[in-house]
Amino acid sequence: MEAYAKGDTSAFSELFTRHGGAVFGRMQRSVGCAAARDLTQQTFLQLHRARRDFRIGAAFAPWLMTIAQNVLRDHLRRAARAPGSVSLLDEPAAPSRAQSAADVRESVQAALAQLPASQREVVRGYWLEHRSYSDIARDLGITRGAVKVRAHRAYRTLRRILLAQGYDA
Amino acid sequence: MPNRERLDDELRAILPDLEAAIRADDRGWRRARSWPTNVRRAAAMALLLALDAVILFGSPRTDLEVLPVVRTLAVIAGVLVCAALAAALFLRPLDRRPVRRSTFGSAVAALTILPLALALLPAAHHDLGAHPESFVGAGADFWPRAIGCLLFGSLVGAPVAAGLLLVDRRPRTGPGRLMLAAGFGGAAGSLGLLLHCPLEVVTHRVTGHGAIAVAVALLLALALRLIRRLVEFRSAA
Repeated sequence: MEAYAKGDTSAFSELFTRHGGAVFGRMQRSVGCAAARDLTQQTFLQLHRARRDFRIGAAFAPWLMTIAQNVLRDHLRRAARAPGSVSLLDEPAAPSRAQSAADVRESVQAALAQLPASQREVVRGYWLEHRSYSDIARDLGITRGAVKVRAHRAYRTLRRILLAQGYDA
Repeated sequence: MPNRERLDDELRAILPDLEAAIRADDRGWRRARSWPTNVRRAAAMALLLALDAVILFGSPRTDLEVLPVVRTLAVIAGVLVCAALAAALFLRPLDRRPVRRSTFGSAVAALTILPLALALLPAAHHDLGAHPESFVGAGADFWPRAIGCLLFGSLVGAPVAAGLLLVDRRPRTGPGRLMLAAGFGGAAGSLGLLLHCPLEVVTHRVTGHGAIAVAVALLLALALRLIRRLVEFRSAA
């Protein structure tokens, strides 16, 4: 990175080869393969723009992963703002007896889309991205307690919606 | 996690597009996004200062000589500090932890009401005899002068806010960040009016000066929407 920050443009592909996999893996765990490509590209584009901000001698991987995390957070916020745009259900809730996995997935997606964006972010972060309440709180800039309150309200609403559709409690 | 081979395929597929995006990013005004963060912040402030300096030297308020110097300098310094904080927050690099939402929201709210707060300051002077032109802008004159000031302030603020957006590295500007940029432009517009408009009638200042940040936000939103439409149209063609 030091070479790249000093203007050696050929160092970029070396950086991408070494660290692209880690960034792509991080993105893929959260948003699936297609969006991960776009976000990985966005992260390295941001790296390019921020190269002169890199402090020579600082650790590169945490610096890059902070950029990646911020790119991902911006993406998730945008997705949360767009109504009905939840597309992150890689792992649907356990299917009930009568419905197919696809039906359940669709129902949960529809129920999630009805949640306020602030609650949807928390559910997605905790259940779909497997992040801790503390991590989510830090990213959203709120307290851990506030995250838990949002999660509780979200589960209550989801339960009500899904019960109304005939799912078991 | 995908296996190593599949991951390598994914990365190989990304690299050509990424390199093309980087080449495009190094052309023309887009290069400004790669300036170091403090340079970008300084550039945004320099644009604000330059436009307001043009107003001060090209079209200064006619009652400058009767203004209290200390108060005027204190107000100017306050506006510049607010603008500098807005630029610092807006251009906060992505390799730093984000600020808390509450901090961000407070900054946006403060900058949005800054022009109104300036408009509500007590009159800088009450010397009707020394400078009667400061006390017009009421009656039949009210709306033309108020709208004139709103336009003047917005036309100073909008390019300053646009300058901030041009050196922004993020791919998209959400409503909150748009409002923060508008607040920065609003500070520039307010300062411009402070240096240009001699009227000390509070109703004129509240109406003509108080909503500049909101007016700049509307102009920016309109401009961004037009640009997006244009880009969509060109990519569809």
